[in-house]
Amino acid sequence: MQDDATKKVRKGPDVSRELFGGVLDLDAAGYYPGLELLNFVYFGEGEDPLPAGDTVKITRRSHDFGRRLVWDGNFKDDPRRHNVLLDDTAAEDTLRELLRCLQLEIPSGTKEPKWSRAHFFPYTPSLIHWDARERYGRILVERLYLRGGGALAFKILRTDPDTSRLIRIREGFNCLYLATMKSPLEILAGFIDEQSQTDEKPVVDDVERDTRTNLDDFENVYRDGILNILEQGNATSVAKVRALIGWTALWLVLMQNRRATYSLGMKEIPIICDCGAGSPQLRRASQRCLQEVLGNIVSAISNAEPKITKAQRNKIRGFFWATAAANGFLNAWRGRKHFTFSVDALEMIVLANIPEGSGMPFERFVTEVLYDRLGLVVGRGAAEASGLINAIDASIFEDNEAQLALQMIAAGLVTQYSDATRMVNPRAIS
Amino acid sequence: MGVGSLRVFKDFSEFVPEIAAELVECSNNDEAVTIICANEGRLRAVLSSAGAGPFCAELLKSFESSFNDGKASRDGRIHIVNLNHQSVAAEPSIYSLGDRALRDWTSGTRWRSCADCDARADCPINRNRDMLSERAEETALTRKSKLRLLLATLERIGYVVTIRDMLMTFAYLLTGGLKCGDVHKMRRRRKKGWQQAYAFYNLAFEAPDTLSTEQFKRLPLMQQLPKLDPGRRAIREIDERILNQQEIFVSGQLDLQFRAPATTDRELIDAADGIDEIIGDPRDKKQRSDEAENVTRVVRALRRRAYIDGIGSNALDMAHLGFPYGADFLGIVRDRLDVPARTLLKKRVIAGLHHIQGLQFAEQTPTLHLVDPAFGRSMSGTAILAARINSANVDLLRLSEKWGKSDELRHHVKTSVDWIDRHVVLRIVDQRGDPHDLLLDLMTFDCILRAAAGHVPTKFYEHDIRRVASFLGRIAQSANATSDQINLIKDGRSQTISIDGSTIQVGVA
Repeated sequence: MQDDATKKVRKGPDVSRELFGGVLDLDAAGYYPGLELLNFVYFGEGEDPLPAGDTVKITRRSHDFGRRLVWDGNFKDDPRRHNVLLDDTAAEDTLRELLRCLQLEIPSGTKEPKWSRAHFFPYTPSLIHWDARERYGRILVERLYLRGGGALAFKILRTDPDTSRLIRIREGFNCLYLATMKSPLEILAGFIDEQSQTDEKPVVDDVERDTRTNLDDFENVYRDGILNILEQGNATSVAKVRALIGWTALWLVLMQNRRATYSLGMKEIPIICDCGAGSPQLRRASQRCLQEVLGNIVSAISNAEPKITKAQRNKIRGFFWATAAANGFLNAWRGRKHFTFSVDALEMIVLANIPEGSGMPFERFVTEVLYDRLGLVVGRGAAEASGLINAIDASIFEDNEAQLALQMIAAGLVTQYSDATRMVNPRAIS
Repeated sequence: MGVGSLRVFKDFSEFVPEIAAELVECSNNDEAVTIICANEGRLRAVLSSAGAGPFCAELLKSFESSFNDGKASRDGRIHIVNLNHQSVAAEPSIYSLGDRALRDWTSGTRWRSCADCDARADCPINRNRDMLSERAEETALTRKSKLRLLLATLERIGYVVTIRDMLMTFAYLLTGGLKCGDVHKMRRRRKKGWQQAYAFYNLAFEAPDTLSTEQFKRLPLMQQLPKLDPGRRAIREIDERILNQQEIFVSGQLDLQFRAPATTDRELIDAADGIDEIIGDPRDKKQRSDEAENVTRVVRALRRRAYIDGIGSNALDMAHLGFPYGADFLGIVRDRLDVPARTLLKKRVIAGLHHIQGLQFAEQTPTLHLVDPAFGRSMSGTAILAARINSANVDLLRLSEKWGKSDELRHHVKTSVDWIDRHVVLRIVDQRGDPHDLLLDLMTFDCILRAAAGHVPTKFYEHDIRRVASFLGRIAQSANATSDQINLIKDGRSQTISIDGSTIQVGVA
C-alpha cells in the first residue's frame, strides 16, 4: 500500500511516451509534427539530415523578426524597425502583407493569433523555424507547439534498420529543396531569418532523446511513405512538403489508434471512412467509429496511469481528433465528426503510397493500400474482411467506394479507361 | 500463315497476360496481317507482362508515343487505332456515328407497320421518331445537330462515349423503355397528357416514372446527361420568348400537352401557349406547391425543347448546357477565330490565369505574370513574382494542332478515327524557350474564363483550379531568376524589394 502511495503520478508526456513512443499533445496537433520533423532534418548539427547516435543537437531559429512584424501589435517599439526597415512604413506594410500569405493555417483559429501562435509554412528551407515566445522583454526559443510528434517521426526515420532505405530517404531530404534554393522567396526568407534570434550553438534535444522507436512494424509504413513522397520526381517541392506534413500527421493518428488498442490487448479497430455517398447508416457508423477510437485511447491512458488528471488525459486524446481534422480526415473541426477524405488528404495518400512511375488499379488501392496498409475501410472488400458486413449492408460500401473513385477521378488521381479499368497514379499531382 | 492472310485477336480477356503476350510475340514471325482488338487497360497489362518480348515492347512504344507525337503510326507498319479518340458526334454529320444510327433507326421502312396502328396519334414513340426524322419534320436536322452537340459536350468534359453507350441511349431516347403493348395499355388506363414525359428531350435529362432507378442506372450515359440539363438554366432571352411570345411552337403537339392541375376544369393544357393557364389562384399550401410543381415541369420541358429546336441563336447553345464560355471553346476547336478575336480571347485567358493565382491588377495587362508557387493559394493580392511572360508566348491551340499542322503530318491520329477536338491546349513558352502544354477540357476552360470575368466558385472548380495553379507553379519554379532584386505585386502594382547588407527597402518598379 505504502509503495502505491509514494509512487509518483506520472504526467501526460510520460504516459504518452509509454503508450505511443513519443509525446502527443492537443497543443501540438495538426501540422506541427511535420514542422518539427523538418526542423530536426534541416537544422541538425552536421550535414547529415538523418544522423545516427543516441542524441541529436539542433540549432533552433525563432524567426521572431518576421513573425512579430506580421502578428505583433507591439512591433512599433522594436529597434529593428529603425535598423532594418529604416522607419519606412510603406516597406513595413508591404513586407507584412507578403509574409502574412506564408502563414501556416491554424484550423481552430478565427481571430488574429499572437505572434508566438503563428508559424510560417516551410515553402523554402529558410522559412523553417522553431517555437519562440517573449518573456520579460527577451525572446526565448522553446517548445510551445512543437511538442514531440515530429521528434518521434524523426527518430523513426533515423533509426531505420533498413540501411538502403535510410540512405535513399537521406538523399531525398537533400534534394527536397534544391529547386527553391535560389528563388526570390528563399533570398527574402534568408534575410528575415538573419534578423531573428537563433541558437548560437546547437543544443541537445531531450524530448527526442527520450522518444522510443522500433516498437512495431507499422513504423515501416511511415518510412516507406516518406521515401515515396521524397522520390516523386514530377511533384513540385511545395507539393512534396505538403504531403510530408500530411503523411506524418496521418501516420501518427493511425499509430495512436493501433497502439492504444494493442496496449488494451484488443483487436485493431478498422476506421470507417464515409466518402459522402449519402448513406445515413454509414455516416452514423463512421461517427460511432470515431467515438470508439477516442474511447479506446482514453482507456489505454487510464490503464497506463489510473491517477492521471482528466485535463492531461484529454490532451492526449485531443491530439487524435485535432490532427485528423486539421489534415482532412474528419469532416470538420467542430460539431459532430466522422471520418472522410479531403482532396489534400487523398493526394497525400497517393503520393505516399504509390511509388513514382507506377500505377495501381483502383480496386487494389482501396483494399491493399487503404485497408491492408492503413486500416481504413471504404469498399466492400475491406468491409467483408473486417466483419462490418454483418452490421451494414454491403451495397452501402460499394456506393462508398464508387463515390471515392468519382472524387479521385475528378481530382486527377485516377485515370479511367473505357474498359472500366481505373488506375491510381501520382503523375497528375504536382 | 502467308501473305494476304489475316489474324485477329478479338479480345484478351480469356488469356492470362503472359500467354497473350507470347501469342502477340509469335504473330510477328509471318507475313499475315494481324489485328489486335483490346481494351486499353488489358492491352497495357499484356504488353508489359513477363511474357512480353521485343515485338510487344515495340507495340507498347508505338502506343505510348502516339500520345506524345500524335501519330497513329510511326513507320506505316504498326497502326494504332485508339478508340478513346473515337467520337460518336464528329462533324460534319456524315462522319458522325450518332447521326448515322439515328438516320437508320428513323428511316421510313422501319416504321411502316405503325401506319395503320390506331394508337398512332397518341404514341410518344412515334412522336419521337417524327421529331427526329427530316422526312416528317424539317426541324429534325436542327434537332439532330443539337443532340450531336450534346454528346460532343459530354465528350469534351472528359467522358468517353462508347458505341454501345450511344446505341443504348438512342434506343432509350426513342422509346423511353416502352414497347407497343405498353403504349396501348397506357393509352387506355392513364389520363391524357402522360406522353410529354416520353418526349426524347425530356427523357435525355429526366427518367420517366415507369423506369426504376435500377433500370436507369444501367444506362451509363444517362448518369452524365442530366448534368447538362438545359431545363435547369434560366436564360432571360429564351425564357421570355417561350413564355410570353406566341406561336414559337405549333399548338396541339403531343409532346407539349400536359395534364392540367386539379384546380382548373380543363383536362389538358398546351405548353405552346406558355404557363398562363397553370397560374390560378391557389387557396392553400397544397395548391400552391402543386402550382409551383406544374410550372417547373412545363418550363423545364419548354427550355429543353427551345434548346433542341434551336429557338435562340447558336451562340447560346453552350450557355443552355451550362457553359457560358463554351462558345469561345468552340471558336477555337472549330478554328473560327480571326486574329483580333484570338488576341482578345488570349487576353481574357491571361486575366483568368491571374485571377486563379490570386493576382489583381490596377490596369489590364496583356503580359502573363507568374507568382512564386508559395503564393499560389493565397488570395490577398500580395505576392512575389517569379516570371513575366509576353502574351506572344502564350497560345491557345486545338488539340489536333498540338503536334504541328495536322494536314502535313503523316498518319495523324486525327485521320485514324472520327475525331473531335476534346481539348484546347494552353501553351506557354517560358523564358528559356521551352514550351509547356496544359490540356484544358471544356470545364477547365470555362473555369478560367469565369475567373477572367471576376468570380469563380472555388469549391466547385477546386480540382480544375488546382490543376491550372500547379501547372503555372511548375513553370514559375523552373523560371527562377537569379537576379538579386525581388519583384512583387501589391494592390495590383509592381514593386521591388532590395536587400542591402542588413537593411531592406521596398520601391516602385
